[in-house]
Amino acid sequence: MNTPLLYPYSLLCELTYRCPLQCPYCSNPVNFECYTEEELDTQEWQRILDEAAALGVVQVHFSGGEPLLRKDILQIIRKARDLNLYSNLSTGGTLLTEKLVHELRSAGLDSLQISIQDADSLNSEYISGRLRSFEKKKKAALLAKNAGFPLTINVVLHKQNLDNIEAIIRLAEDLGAERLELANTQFNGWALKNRNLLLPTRPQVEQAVSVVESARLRLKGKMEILYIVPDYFEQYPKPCLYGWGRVFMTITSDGIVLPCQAAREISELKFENARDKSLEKIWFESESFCIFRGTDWMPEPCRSCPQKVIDFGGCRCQAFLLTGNAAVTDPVCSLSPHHTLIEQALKETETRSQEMWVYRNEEESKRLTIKSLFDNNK
Amino acid sequence: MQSILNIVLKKVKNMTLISDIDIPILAPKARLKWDPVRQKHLLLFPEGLLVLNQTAHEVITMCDGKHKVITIVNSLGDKYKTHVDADIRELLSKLVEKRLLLLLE
Repeated sequence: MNTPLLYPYSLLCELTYRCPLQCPYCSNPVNFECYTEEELDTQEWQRILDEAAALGVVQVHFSGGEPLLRKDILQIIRKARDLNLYSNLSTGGTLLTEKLVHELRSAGLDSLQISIQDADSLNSEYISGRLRSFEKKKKAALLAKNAGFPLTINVVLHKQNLDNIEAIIRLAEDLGAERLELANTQFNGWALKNRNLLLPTRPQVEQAVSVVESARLRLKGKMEILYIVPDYFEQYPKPCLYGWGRVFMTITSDGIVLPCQAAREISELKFENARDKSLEKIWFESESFCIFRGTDWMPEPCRSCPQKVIDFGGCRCQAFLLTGNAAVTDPVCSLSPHHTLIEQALKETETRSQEMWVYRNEEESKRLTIKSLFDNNK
Repeated sequence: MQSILNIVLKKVKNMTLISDIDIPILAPKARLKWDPVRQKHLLLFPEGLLVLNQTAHEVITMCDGKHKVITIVNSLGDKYKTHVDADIRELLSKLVEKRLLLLLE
């Protein structure tokens, strides 16, 4: 397949890696602490939005960390509005106030996403690692609705909350969400560190699917439920971002331009910084974007597989983190020569457990960064 | 009409029933946009977008809270002299189901 040159539709701006929550499956890199002092300033983000719009981006998604920690969040959103970009903001919700929600609305923000960790405060706060956060999140959802935002509730699913999925769906309904995004944990970054506590069992997954299916019927036309499957249990990998460098672009808080938000962990690739080069040059010419674009790079079993134009060989980040080589077939594919890695992990989740997960915070980030440097040089 | 991002329109099993006298209006969360880079009309909404062909764009433009479904169908049918009736109804149903169009009484 010769992929014609495509322009990106969607830009994810990870405005900061700082966050009051400590969710153990966070998609930020494990070593995020190394980059927290290099955040882009207001003018840099505004210039990036200019460049992105000129390159064809029509949707911009503000995320983090916690994007509401940015003092200039309104200026950044106003810029997106001026460029006629459709803007989403994804927040943990704990910092949202009545004043702020109205300011976000008048700055031109189009839609709000609030994360929920579970259906009750005890479980929710155990997962988010933040006491008294659950009530704040519920209040944030109410504020968002009252301000007239279309509200998405998003929930990362895993072993510890999958059994509560019915109650989670009810909660989203009660909060007045128009969309519920149920995303099974993707095992990159922090989630991979905590896999033994997060990877569900097959009966859990099957039960959840049937609950989701009946909820969809019940809520048809009222609340849309997006369910992102747990790829460890699938025969073929997910069409990760509809192909590398094809539709999506992510920019980290310190300006690194990535084809996918987890890609920073692929340490064998060098990613460019939006401080040094234009987004256009990076999107079309950089090695990091071109290397896995299309299908020519693919090894067997992808190369001769008819699925390759559907799943694009799966997730490059997962391939790298599990095998040390980003250019192999995603190990979750049942045809991958590395698929035993997945089978082993599934076996382990039935029998073994860590005592406690590693929370995502600066101290743990420092500790794990140093440990990984030490282990790699031994 | 081709769907691009992670909201992919599902095959509508039980088609939302829209009647001839319903009056569709674009939901506040959805926005039409002319994309100068690709030279296409787009429909933008939370976490997704649709790339519209000309007919789809004309249908959605007529969803302004003033035209009945039957008026939209007839007006485009007359213009293109083809049988677009079923296509237009299917598009409207899908958009209603995704709550990108609201129906006025």
